[in-house]
Parts: sequence; structure tokens; C-alpha cells
Amino acid sequence: MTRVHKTGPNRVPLTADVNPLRSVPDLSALSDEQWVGYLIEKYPLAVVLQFIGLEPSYTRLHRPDTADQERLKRVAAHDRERLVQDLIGIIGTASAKHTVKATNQRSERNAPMHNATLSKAEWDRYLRSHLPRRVIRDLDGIEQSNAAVQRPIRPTSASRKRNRLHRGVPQVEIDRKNRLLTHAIVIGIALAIMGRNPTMPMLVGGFGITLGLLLLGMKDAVRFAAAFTVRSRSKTGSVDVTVSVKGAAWDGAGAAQILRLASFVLPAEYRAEYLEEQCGNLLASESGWERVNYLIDLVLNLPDIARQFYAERKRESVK
Amino acid sequence: MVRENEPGKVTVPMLQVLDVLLSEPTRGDWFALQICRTTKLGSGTVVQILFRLERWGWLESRWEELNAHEAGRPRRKFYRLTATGARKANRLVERKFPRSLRFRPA
Repeated sequence: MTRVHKTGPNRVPLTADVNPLRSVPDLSALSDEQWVGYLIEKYPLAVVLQFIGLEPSYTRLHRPDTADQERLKRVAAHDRERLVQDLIGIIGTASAKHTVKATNQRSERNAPMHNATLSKAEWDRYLRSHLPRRVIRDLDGIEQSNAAVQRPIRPTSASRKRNRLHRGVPQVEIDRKNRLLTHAIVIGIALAIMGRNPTMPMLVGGFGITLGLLLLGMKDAVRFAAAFTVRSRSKTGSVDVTVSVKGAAWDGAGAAQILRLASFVLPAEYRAEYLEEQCGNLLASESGWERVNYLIDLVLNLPDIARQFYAERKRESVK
Repeated sequence: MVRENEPGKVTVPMLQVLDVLLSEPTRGDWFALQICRTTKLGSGTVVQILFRLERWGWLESRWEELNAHEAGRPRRKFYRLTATGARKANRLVERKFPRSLRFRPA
């Protein structure tokens, strides 16, 4: 394989077989079908279209990529004849401008035989003498496009900046074993400091953790219960609805809150009525002392009241 | 509320409550706090007695006609003696306290 020429400071070094003209056989004797078939076999779709003369309009709509070659190979493997005919049809139906251009660019067919053996200087001279400057420039563009497709895309400086980690926060990956080991050491040291009997610290810690979890979960539990109630009463399906219910004016009263908490020992079907009645009595009291007395006696007798309610419920269920 | 015609358990506090109710047998707006004030009994005791009397059919209850949200307080539950209840309660109190001083409203 002949190695390539450098086409400038920003040009990409290419292998010779990427250049469509440097490794072609004598194409002048080929028919249109043979020529198109040869191009399909050798080059990416973009390059084929370039030779046919449709490349400028084609590349406006489609940027060649590596998938083109694979797609072309797949199509060619299944229905090569049809693809060749299609491309020839494209040549035939192209505009006059494109046709002229295609004819010009088919100077490839007049290329000398064995041109792959030419040196770089001879090749450049040949191109300058046989092809217009614009075509030579286009060929250079083809080389660069192919090289760009074939080489991996390097990140630009902008993307490198985007992806750069914050330097202030060092990203240290701690192994899981090391982390567990560190925790074990810390706990061991803490237990040694607290003394030989770790019961008390563990009890306090456990109580604290439990209390924290309860406080954290209470709000969610209440929300979940409310959503579940709303959903169970819905006939149309499980749609989450945020319902803001206006609380009763006496909800904030401390006595009512205490009574509400205590009344959980009552059967559910009697609870609401009982609460409303007793809250009505409580808030009708004339003094705070009377209210406190009334509340305390209610709470103290709540087990007996609950027993009566449960007996009543049992009697009703029997009947 | 399922009613039982026969009283199962009669206690002194129950007789006190009945005595107060019989002082104004036609009154229809007795409520638990007021009975507590009059009899000096505890609220828990009075509530249990009212519940039991209602179950026996001696009392009937109704809710106060009040918009709770506008009034800023919940409705109260009013009790009144039924005709049967008044007759039976009167007989029971007379039998248990034949010579006692009956409660009279001021």
C-alpha cells in the first residue's frame, strides 16, 4: 500500500487507497453500469455521488458517515443490479448543470493506467494538468472527509472544558471494604471510649434513630393514608389528588387534640360522633378549670366508655 | 341505637342523673356538661350513664342546630327524656329514694 502525501498543515494524512483516483484501474473502457458498480464496491456513498456529480446537492442534505458504507454494502449485497440502475438513473435525470459537472469529473475515466505507481510529485502534476483546480480542491475535500470519518472524533477544547471535573472537589473512589472497615474501627473506638458496657450508648442510639425515623416517616404516612382514602373512594381509578380540607375551627384546640388522640381506643364507627359531642361540651365550658376537669375525667373513663361501645357493637352485630 | 327496655344496672350516679332530668322532664336541651355541673359528677361517668339510658330508650338525643364552622365550635348533643323514660325513671327514683330530698332547679 502506497503511503500518502500531506496536503497542508491542516490536512489529514491519508492512505493511498482512500484517494479514489490513485488506485483505480483503466476505467475508460467501462460502461456506465460497470463504472457505477466499481465505484459502489470501492468507495463510500458520498464519494460515489461525488463522482456521479451530485455530491454538492447531496451533501447539503446528508453528511456522509461510516454507516453509509455499511448501508451501501448491505443494499449492494441484496439487490446490486437495482442499486446500479438507480444510480445510473440519477445520472440520466440530473440537471444539465450536474450532468456537465459529472462529465467533467468523469475525467477519472481518462486517467493513465497504473497511476498508483506514480510518485507524489508526478501525481500532483498529473492532476494539475488534467483536472480543473476546483476538482482538485474537491478531491482534497473527499480525502479529508474520508479521513475524518475513519478516525475517531477527538473532543474539542470546549467539550473538554465542559467535561472537566471541578478541581475543588477531589473525586476519590473509596472501596466498599475500606469504608466498612473504617466504620468498624470508628465504632470500636467509640465503644472502647464509652466503657466496657455498651448497652447504654446502644440503647440511646437506638432510641434516637427510632425517634428520627418516626418523625421522618410520620408526615409521609399521614399523606399516604389520606391519598389512599381518596383513592379508595374514587370510582374512576387511581388518580392522586391533592385535597386540602378546611379544618374545623376547634381542631387547633389543645383539649380537642388530646381527646382525639385518646379516642383511638374507641371503635371507629362511634369515634367521630363521640368526638364531636365531647368537643362541643368542652368548648361550651365556662372556664379553663372546668374544661380541664371535664377532659381529665373523660380520658380516665375512656376505657369504660370504650368497653360499652364495644359491647354495643357486638350486640348490634349479633342482631 | 338499639334499645333495651329493661335497665341492666342502676347506680347512685345514674339515679342522680335521672333526678336532674326529671326536674324538668319536658326540657329538650340537656347536654353532658350541664348535667355534670348540676350533679357534680365526672364527665366520664355522666357520658356512660347517658349512653346507657339512651340504649334503654329512656332518653332520646338530637344534634344542636348550628353551623359549626360559622360558630367556631362543634355541635352539642341534646338529650331529653322520652315519655316512657320519664315514667320509668320517676318510678325508679321514687322507689330508691323514697324520702330523699329531690333535686329542684333554682
